[in-house]
Amino acid sequence: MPESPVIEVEELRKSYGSVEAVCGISFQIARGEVFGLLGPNGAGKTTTIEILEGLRSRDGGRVSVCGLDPDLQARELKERLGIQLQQTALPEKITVAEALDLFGSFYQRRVPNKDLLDWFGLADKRRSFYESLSGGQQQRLALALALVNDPEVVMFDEPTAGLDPQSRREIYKLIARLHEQRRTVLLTTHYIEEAEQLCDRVAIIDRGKVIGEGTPRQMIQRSEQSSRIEFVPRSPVALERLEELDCADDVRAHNGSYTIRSRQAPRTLMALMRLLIAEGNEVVEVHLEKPSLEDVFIEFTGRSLRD
Amino acid sequence: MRGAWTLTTVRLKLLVRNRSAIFFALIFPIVFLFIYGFLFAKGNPSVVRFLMGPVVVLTILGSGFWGVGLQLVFFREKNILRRFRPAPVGAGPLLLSGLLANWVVQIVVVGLEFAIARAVFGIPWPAQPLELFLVGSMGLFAFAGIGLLVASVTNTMQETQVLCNLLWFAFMFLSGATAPLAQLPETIRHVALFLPSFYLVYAMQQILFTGAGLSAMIPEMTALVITGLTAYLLGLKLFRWDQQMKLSMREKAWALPALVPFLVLGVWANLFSQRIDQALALYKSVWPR
Repeated sequence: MPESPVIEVEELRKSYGSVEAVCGISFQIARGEVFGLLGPNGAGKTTTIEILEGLRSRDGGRVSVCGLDPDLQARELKERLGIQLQQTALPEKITVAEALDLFGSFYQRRVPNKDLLDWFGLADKRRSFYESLSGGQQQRLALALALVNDPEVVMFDEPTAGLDPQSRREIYKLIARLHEQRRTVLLTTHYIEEAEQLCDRVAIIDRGKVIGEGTPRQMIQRSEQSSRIEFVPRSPVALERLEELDCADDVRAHNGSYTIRSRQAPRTLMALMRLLIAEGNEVVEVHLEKPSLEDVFIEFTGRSLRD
Repeated sequence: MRGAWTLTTVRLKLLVRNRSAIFFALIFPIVFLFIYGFLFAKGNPSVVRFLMGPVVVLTILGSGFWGVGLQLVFFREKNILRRFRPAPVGAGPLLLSGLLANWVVQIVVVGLEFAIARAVFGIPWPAQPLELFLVGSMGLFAFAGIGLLVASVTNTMQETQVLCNLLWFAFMFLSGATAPLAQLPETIRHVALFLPSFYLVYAMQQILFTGAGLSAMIPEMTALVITGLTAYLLGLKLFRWDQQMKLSMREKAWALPALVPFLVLGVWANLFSQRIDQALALYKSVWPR
């Protein structure tokens, strides 16, 4: 990690009655990093993030956010955090500008309304009632409210849940911009593409435990999953020749197209090209499909993210 | 209390934009003024003046229960309170802003009721407006506090409605706030001495007719203020940001101390005071035979 951690979590524990929701989670997040907690519903992501926000007390372990203990210094911490919780709403008849004024009045430090409205593309909606905003606009307003105090650390809990693909992409752009501004962002998600696209590092959480942590690329490299090379040659190729290719695990043919599974796709691809050239053959079409974070998740947990 | 004032102004704006809230906060009490004035008082200015106490109690009791209490539950069920949770604003300013916004609206509505009663029924302006204002404000604080407390101990809107209705009916029909105390059975008159609404009706009628000063109503005012304060503080203790956070029966029992001021006052008034006799004497002097 390039800089000293802004968020440190060590052996975090939390139970609800006899149910252990978080069982000894540890991770660190550096300043300016976008870190994702990835896991299925009920994995313990929301409990973890709410403990870091000072909204829920912990049963055990050590937590530090901006050098503060959320259990003991929640109020001081709230001044420095930008938080977007899951499933929140505003009164139907409040305008966008009034909501920004209201929430801004709670903080010692605040960003001018104009900047937030421009940034979140809500300038022409400043006088609109909350009830008249679309789902995407309401969510953009929720994120604007989270940034009303110009926070150094931002925590988003499922920021794109329930949004259509276009609204989701708008939120991605906004989070990418936070990253450019070197703000520290912690987000929870169960969308793989969100984690792959936005996060510098991710921690996969399942049943209250971290079962994998690293950059999305490291996670994929660490996994046992293989890439898939699919190609269509000008003339048929003998399967036995393909099976002999460097690092080729599994080879199949179907209607003139061939699929090779490989844990070292670049090496296998090079060998394939050499073979085809040597045989005077040509490639008409080729696709390379790398294992995704979802494949890694299934490998680690034995189930899909949406289970 | 940072943010309490901004919250209060926003709440007032929201109320003005909500047609249903305007109807129940403004139109509904004035309809009741006309019902009391034309049906019960038959337009007699003296009787209308006597019934201004019940009309005001009906107005501020409704606002405390339905306006303040039910709105809190609505905000909780709609996940609006949850939005405020991460901000450095506690439950105190949120609850206080509900009380303040309600106070501003109801002071205007009660002032309007007196103005309409004077214009339509010819009742004189109150000789002691400051005393009326202070007692009315204490009543507003007490009833809104009870509304908050009900909202704090109930887990669902349905539960809140049931409890608010039960209390509203008891406060209205057993206290002299609808039928005058003199028209109620003897046993009910003694029950009325345990209800805050009786004391507010009594205090307003005494101020309007006998020119009684605040010094004559120290027990009533003390009980109203202590009830409001206890209810507010217990409401804070039991406050929940989220509808998922439910209260157990043991936690709900925390609401009981709010009953103490009027239990004590009721016992004292039944044993040592002349409140019933004074209320009956005023009724006899005003109500036509």
